[in-house]
Amino acid sequence: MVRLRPLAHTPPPSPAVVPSFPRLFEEEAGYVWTTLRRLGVRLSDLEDLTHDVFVQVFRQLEQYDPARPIKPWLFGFAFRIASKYRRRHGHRFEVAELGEAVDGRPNPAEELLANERRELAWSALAELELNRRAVFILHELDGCPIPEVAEHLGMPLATAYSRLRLAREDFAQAARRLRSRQR
Amino acid sequence: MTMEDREFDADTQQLLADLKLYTAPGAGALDRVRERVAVSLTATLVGASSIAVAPTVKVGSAAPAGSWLATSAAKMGLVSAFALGTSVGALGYAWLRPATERVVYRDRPSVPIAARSAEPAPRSASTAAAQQPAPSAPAPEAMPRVALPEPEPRHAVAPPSSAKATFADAQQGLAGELQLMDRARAALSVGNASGALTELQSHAARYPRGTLQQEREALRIKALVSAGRAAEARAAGRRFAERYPDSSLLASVNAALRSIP
Repeated sequence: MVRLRPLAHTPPPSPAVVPSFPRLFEEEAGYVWTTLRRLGVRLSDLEDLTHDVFVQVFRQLEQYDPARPIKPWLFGFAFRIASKYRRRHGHRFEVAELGEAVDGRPNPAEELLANERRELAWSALAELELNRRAVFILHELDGCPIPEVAEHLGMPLATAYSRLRLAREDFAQAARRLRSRQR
Repeated sequence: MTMEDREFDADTQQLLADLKLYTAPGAGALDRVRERVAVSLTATLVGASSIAVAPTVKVGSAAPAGSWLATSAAKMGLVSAFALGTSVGALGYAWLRPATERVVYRDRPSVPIAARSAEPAPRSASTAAAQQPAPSAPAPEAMPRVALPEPEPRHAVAPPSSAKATFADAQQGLAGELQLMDRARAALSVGNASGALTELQSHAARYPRGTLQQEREALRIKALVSAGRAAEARAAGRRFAERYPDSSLLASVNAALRSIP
């Protein structure tokens, strides 16, 4: 079954200690999966890359500051792994694939929402250059403030702002173009 | 919060709302990922020395029976490690339970893993556990060497009966190591640097050649920084860099050292 859930960027209920790894996996695997997908990882490679993210997360867990939200921290792993993936599989990257169902069966919930508009949204996102896209996703979709975006993605603040601006322009432009093509 | 929201017209904002929804993976997908992560982590923790010496082959070429046994061994190892080694033992058990018996391996040519397809059929899963390195490991060269017995050279006879006990010991040791490391990490995360150092000291005393030496040293350096023992932290940092020049933890160690005022 395919479930649809909003991905709100809510701070965790203030855990004082680093979360246990199994719990982290249960709570955040869906976020990591979605993030990789938004970053342009093909559906057929999502299991592999989600695995890779969590193996690295395990080894670096002690670096996580539990006072801060975990999603942007996880996003950093997903971004680095997705970047490497793109370098390896450039030709297989940047494809918007909404038609492909995860389990291969049509799903009523998926069909309801996988309308033209949603497809258009994903296609427009897929057109963004990866660095710009990462800033765009983390800020616009996950609600992470830009200074933290810059920190988690390891880029200067000014760069993050300029990438955000360019990403917005690119996104709006791509949406306009795709929309006019649809009509 | 974002002044920039107004830059988008209503249509574009609707698109963003669509993107905020997401299609979660099918239930089976995350189960498969969970199980593969468990296998990889067990390889990291339990099988590191085996991996370091075993010939590198692709997962896909491992004999089916062999990889299934290795998987079982990996599961046993991880279940006990998590159950004993974390503060949420129950969750540790529950973690692997929903997973199916089947592990789907794909060819992942860029990832070197250890599996020995030519292994003679062992008598039981437990003896196999001691013999078979767990499959799939992310970066063998970055892993700590463990004081586990190296896998037997290939031979036609069944493994010695002591193999079972040795593997159990290794598992127990690892669980204890994890427990101490967890306590140290928890102490440091609430600012109790001296508590963390005490835990790390007992770790060093009990497991001088343990699996998690590298993790221990990295954490100790951070605790020293946090305790304001700058000179010791720097000295330990230099030793760490000499000893583990390729460690994935080196960046965080250096970051901690740079934070010294």
